[in-house]
Amino acid sequence: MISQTIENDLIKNLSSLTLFSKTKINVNAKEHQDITELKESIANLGILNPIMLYKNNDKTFIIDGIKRIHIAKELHHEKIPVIKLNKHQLYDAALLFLVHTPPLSFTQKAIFLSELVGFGMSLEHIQKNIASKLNLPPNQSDINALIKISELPDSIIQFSHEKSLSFKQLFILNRYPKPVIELVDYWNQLCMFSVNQFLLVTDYIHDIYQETPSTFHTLKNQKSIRAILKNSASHKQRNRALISYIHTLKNPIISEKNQQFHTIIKKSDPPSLCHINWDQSLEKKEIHIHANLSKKNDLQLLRQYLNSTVAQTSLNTLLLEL
Amino acid sequence: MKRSFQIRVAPSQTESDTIKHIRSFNENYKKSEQTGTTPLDYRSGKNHLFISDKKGQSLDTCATIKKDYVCCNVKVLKSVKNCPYDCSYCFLQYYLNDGETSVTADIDGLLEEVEERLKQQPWRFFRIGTWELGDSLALEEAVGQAQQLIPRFAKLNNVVLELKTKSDCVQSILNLDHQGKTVVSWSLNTDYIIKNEEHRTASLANRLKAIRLTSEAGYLIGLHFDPMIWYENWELDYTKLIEALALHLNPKMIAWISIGSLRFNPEMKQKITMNFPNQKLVFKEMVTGDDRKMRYPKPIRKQMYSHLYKELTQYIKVKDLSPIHTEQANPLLYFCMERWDVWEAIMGENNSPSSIGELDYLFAKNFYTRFPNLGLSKPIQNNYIENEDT
Repeated sequence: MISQTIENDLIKNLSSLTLFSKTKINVNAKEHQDITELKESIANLGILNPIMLYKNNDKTFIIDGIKRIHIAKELHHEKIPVIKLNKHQLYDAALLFLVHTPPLSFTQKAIFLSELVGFGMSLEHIQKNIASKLNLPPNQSDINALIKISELPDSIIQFSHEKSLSFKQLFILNRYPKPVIELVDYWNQLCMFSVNQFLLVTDYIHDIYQETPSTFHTLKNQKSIRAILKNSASHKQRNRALISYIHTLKNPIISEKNQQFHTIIKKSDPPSLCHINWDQSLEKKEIHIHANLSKKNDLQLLRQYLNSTVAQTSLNTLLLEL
Repeated sequence: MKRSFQIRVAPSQTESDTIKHIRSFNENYKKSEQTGTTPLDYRSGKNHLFISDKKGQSLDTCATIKKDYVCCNVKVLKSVKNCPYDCSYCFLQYYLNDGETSVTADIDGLLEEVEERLKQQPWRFFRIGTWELGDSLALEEAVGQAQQLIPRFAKLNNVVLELKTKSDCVQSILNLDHQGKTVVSWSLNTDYIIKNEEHRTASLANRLKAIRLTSEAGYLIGLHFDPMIWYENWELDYTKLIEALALHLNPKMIAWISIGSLRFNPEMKQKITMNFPNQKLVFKEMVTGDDRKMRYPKPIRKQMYSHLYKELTQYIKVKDLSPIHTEQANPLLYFCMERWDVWEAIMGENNSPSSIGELDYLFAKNFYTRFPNLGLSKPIQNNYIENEDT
């Protein structure tokens, strides 16, 4: 390794390009640690250990020394010592990065691999030398699939990292068409879905996208959805209302039938102590009647209701329909 | 269908009848150098054929049996694994860990196990199919397994072999001495579904021709309208299917008819989308049943079944195809993986078997009544009810 110095202009340009910066989503918890000591040392002695750089095509990446560069810029240093790594040294740096970084989420692993590919590392090399370090199966199709995950929008990447999505979940997400992901991502910003909700909504929206593309294209600006997003008091309410609305869109037959059944039962005017339920998927031909008996005449009320013609007609109609 | 495979042979089967058949079928037959140690995926496994030993238990009950449904309790002989066809809805794409196609060459071993099972329940009428993990006839030209099984089953009592297929590979079995103990069944669907979803299978026209030839050779025919699939013109197309069938098959030759609709594990959805990017099957409205399988909502299923049932009754010229009315000597019709209430919605109140045991008994009664020349034992209902778990 030959130590060189670089000039002021290049120092400025280096500030935003850090090696594996994308992989470092949320991993640098100590990013804002006290750097006073380092600053004092650089002010008095200059930069003792050269900054490590790697140049790929037109871009130069900082491998090690981002804080020192910031300080050097603050102190208006015009020259700093650097070492420019070749490709083999970069691979060593990648392994070193893994050693000094807390365990990566699957999302980070995906980004890390895509960055390596971006720096020119071959899939074969990744398969042989990196996969096992990331606890990944040495299977090229899995590695390929993982790398493609990095193409998801940044906000989804952030979400999947924060929620620790599994490889399988990431893989499924990455198979959805871009418009589907973008729409659900937009809603996610407003509704803060859990992982299961996110995956469920994406799956439903994907079905709508495939089955009735014309409906899909109206979704973002649909009045009912806009009203849900605008009028709900909290993200939890928005979240619940939106999922319920999308469920209705995805399952029109089931939703309509259940609505009909609710109307039938409501018309029979059951006493408040009596809760009438059925399997909402309509698979089981069963009606469940739960009664909360707490007062003296509750049993009489229940009996009165069940003996009434209107209750019997309603329950029979419901049973027949089921 | 002529197809070339890379063939691997279990050491004990190198001189088996199956290998002799393969040699005569393909003069250029050459064993593959492939070792078989690396699992093949579902698709590439379709081009590799393993002529295998019989390992462990091969005879079992159909894996989908579940007490929540009125199941038919058919037994399955696992003699084939994977299939050269490529149906978009096929569960094998999810189920198989190793996709290598395999055919059991140890026919003696298979038959020993069948005979042992028959001895345990001499009162029972067994239906044994070879189709659970593959197509019974798709590989027939290449491996000749059915040609070995049919004459062996002809000598057994109280049992029929069911060969279920989407092929038209029947030439080699037409002249065999089957003694009525083999039912050749077809999985039938509309022309549209066959063309769009049942890739590489025989066309509807060819399946119907094969049905005609097979029934003319005296074989009883099983009909499986499963999976029925919902699409824009399904109603008209299923009507046309039955009309076409009526031109090729005398209803008297029908052994049984099953009806079922599209269903799959939720995990299959991703597989199907990945393996068949152009299909639209899995995006329809579906619910998840107690068996964790996704299926059309019950109102849709009932609508589809009612339509097909009506068409079938017109074809067979009967008012009622309920299995509990076997005294009418009609072919037995049953629904696959449906609750009693779906049966009753189609066939009328109290026209559904009350349990798996009762349906199993009704199969026996139906065959005993309709085909006395098979020499079946007179079925006793209690035996079937009390032993429905076996």
